Amino acid sequence: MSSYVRLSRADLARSVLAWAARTGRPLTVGNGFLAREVAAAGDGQHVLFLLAGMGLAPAVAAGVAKASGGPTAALEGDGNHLMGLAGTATIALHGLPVTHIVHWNGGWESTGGQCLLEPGSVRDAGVALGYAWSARVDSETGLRSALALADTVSGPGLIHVIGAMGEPAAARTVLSMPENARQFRSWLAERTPAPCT
Amino acid sequence: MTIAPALPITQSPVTPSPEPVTEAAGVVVGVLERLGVEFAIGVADSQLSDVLAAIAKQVPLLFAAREDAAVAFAVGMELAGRRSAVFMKNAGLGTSLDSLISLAIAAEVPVLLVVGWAGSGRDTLAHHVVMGDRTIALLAAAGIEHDVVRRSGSPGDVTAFSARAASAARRHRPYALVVEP
Repeated sequence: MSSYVRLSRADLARSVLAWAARTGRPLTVGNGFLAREVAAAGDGQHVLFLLAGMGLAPAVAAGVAKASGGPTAALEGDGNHLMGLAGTATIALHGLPVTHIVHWNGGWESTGGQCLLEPGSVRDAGVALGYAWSARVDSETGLRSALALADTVSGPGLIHVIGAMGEPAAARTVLSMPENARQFRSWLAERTPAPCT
Repeated sequence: MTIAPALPITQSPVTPSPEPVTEAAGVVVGVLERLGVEFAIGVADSQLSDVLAAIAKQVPLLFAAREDAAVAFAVGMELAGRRSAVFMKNAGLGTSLDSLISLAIAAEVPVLLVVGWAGSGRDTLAHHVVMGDRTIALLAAAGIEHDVVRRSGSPGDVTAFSARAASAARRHRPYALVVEP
């Protein structure tokens, strides 16, 4: 029997959104209930929602990191993560400063709750592909520690968040993808550009 | 919180080829220069090797694990204000359709593609031809404007190609240079 004290999807979304805003990180969010939750969590000028394009949020964050020379973050669910492992490998290949947060609730919840078995450890997959560090958390305290680690360790890092299915879902975001992309682009342009290496 | 130890990773820099630039490669590089491309990212293709060597002389050449990740990477670069080109074999176009349609086109972020047209012209390998025969129709169905860079006769007009690529970018649409083998 599991002894985890699980972090809710809504709490995860609020915490990551606030951390990214506080640290000035652009945040890309994979599609599904997580995107809805982040949109519901508050003002997100610094957020790009991938309402479609499953599995691509980390690769977009990698492109932003390469172009800006600064750290970025990607938040996605387990289904997105499995589909987008090529993006994870690309981040690792170039050692880009992407904090990659994977919410593992063990299923495809937005499509009806189909169950998904965890293929070993997501945390270990991050370092196996070449990330500088990775952590596994199951609580708000653990998440805070991992996000603090992301602020101090350079290079790509993966935070594997243990979640659970069956939580209520937020409403769909009303922002269209083009509107969101323009908003995200404007937010990025207003930041002080960093040298591109 | 539990932490996994990191493993060392090594990367080799891409060394520009000393070979002279082919006519087809010159057209591709000419278009990329006119569009202000600063990076190229993608998956290598043997039939694009001369083109990739020529691009590497001009801008950093980056590699992705798969073509759809390269398209998403380019979307991120474009949103951050830096133009890039995505290179791939036409087989990778199939892998990239969701990235191109559900991300780049849906979000109205322009992407410039350089696609090796395996299975056309002198490339008669059966497992290439099956994709080669469908490449142009696939681009059209996906709403991706394109021009063909030829290997025989005139390779193409850099000015005209650049104008069409720039027009597509202004309309937030993808554009592809399709390079014959």
